[in-house]
Amino acid sequence: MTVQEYNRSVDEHADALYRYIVAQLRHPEDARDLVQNAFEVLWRKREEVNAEKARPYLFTVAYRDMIDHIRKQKRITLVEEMAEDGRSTHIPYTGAREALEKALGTLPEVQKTVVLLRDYEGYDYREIGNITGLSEAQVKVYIFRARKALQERIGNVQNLI
Amino acid sequence: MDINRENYESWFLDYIEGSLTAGQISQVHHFVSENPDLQKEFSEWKQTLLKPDLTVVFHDKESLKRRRRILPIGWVQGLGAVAAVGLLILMALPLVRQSASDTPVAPVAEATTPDTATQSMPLSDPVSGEGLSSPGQPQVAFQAKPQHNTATQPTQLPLAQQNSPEKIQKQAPDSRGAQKPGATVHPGSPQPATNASLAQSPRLATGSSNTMSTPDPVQTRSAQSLDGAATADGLLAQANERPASQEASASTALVPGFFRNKINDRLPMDIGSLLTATQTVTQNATRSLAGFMSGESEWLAVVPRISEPEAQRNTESMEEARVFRFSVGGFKVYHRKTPKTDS
Repeated sequence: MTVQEYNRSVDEHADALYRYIVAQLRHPEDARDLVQNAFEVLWRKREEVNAEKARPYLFTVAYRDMIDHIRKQKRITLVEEMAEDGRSTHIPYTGAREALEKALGTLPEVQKTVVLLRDYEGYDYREIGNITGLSEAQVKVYIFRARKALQERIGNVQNLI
Repeated sequence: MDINRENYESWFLDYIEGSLTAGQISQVHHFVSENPDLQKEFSEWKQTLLKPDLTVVFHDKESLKRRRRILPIGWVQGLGAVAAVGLLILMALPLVRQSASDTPVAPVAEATTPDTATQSMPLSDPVSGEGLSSPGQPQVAFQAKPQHNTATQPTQLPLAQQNSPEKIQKQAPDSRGAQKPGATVHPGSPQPATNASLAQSPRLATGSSNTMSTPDPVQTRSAQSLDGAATADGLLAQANERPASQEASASTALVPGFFRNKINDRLPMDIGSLLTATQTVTQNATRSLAGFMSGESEWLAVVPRISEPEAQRNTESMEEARVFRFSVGGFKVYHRKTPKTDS
């Protein structure tokens, strides 16, 4: 990967990576740090990473760092309002979208990750498995459990309404 | 297996995952229509699809980017120009030496004029009164000239006038010893000592036997004090060495003191070696430029040698990145081949 390709990766992947981490952590500052770290790793390994593989590589690095970060910070998947950050733009969720995001926050990290990678990035099961270190079958099982939990959460919210 | 109330959830999952065929999708729709109690659940399953919020963006992308240390083309041309100028200077150095060696001719003329006069002094030496037969004191001419007024010895004047041209021609090579014609002489150099020593040289004295006399003790002491080991061979060697040092001084006459000293320390320089080194640097720069222009090289960088460690940190293990580098003056030029990407 050349310097130009690296900089192009920043333009093309930084936003998606940031969204993924924000959705996962629900903490913009931490997400920004993890994005910076992921691109720092990519820069150091640019000789080994092809430009077309930069995106999954970034997500892989970010996922592993995120797991470590969660373990260190002992962050529990509690739904909290995201603090407004001057460096990021975030619109508060309302209605069904808010319910879905809250439901997402209740999922185990691995389920949250696989469903985010599936819906946000459109990765197939194999690609998600490569990022997370899971098998395709495991990915499918986690996605099923995640969606089932989200469906139940949405159903409960709608019942309240 | 067809969809039923036992497995409909996996069918719903595949439906929203988009992994069903058109026929399977129709089968799901038909199943939901036949099971109204599952319509609400089917709608909730479809709502589990997450959509990214595109308004959430990373605003600080520039902080993630890396600046390329590209050597601008103008710089490359500048390097070439510097190399060319350096080459021209090296090529012109001999010419500078030669032209500069002509500059101090005036001091030479000043020094030789008294010598010439000196050689005629014995003809009118009132002390010795021996005229040409007296081995005069040619090297005391500076003091003797005003004193040795030809009016005191009018009878010797015609002889002096008659013999003077011959003597001058004859003595000119002798009185100046083995000094090369046109060689420069510094006003402060021990030229009088050399002339005095010449008077002591038996062989050279023979060449100027008409003017040689018993050396003046004072002059002899002065000469010995200046060059105690002055022999004919030594004088010849000294005379042979003089042009080189004179050229060194002359070629750097217009150079500031510090650099003049540096140049003098290195003179006589090996022009061939310097040209070879300059050519090598130029070839390397040209090769890097060609690679850069053809896209084979990823970038070029020029960093001062003093900041090389910092540059290496910034560029992340340049050695591993197959960085080609060479030095130009106080700088190092970094040139990395573009890595081949795997297809």
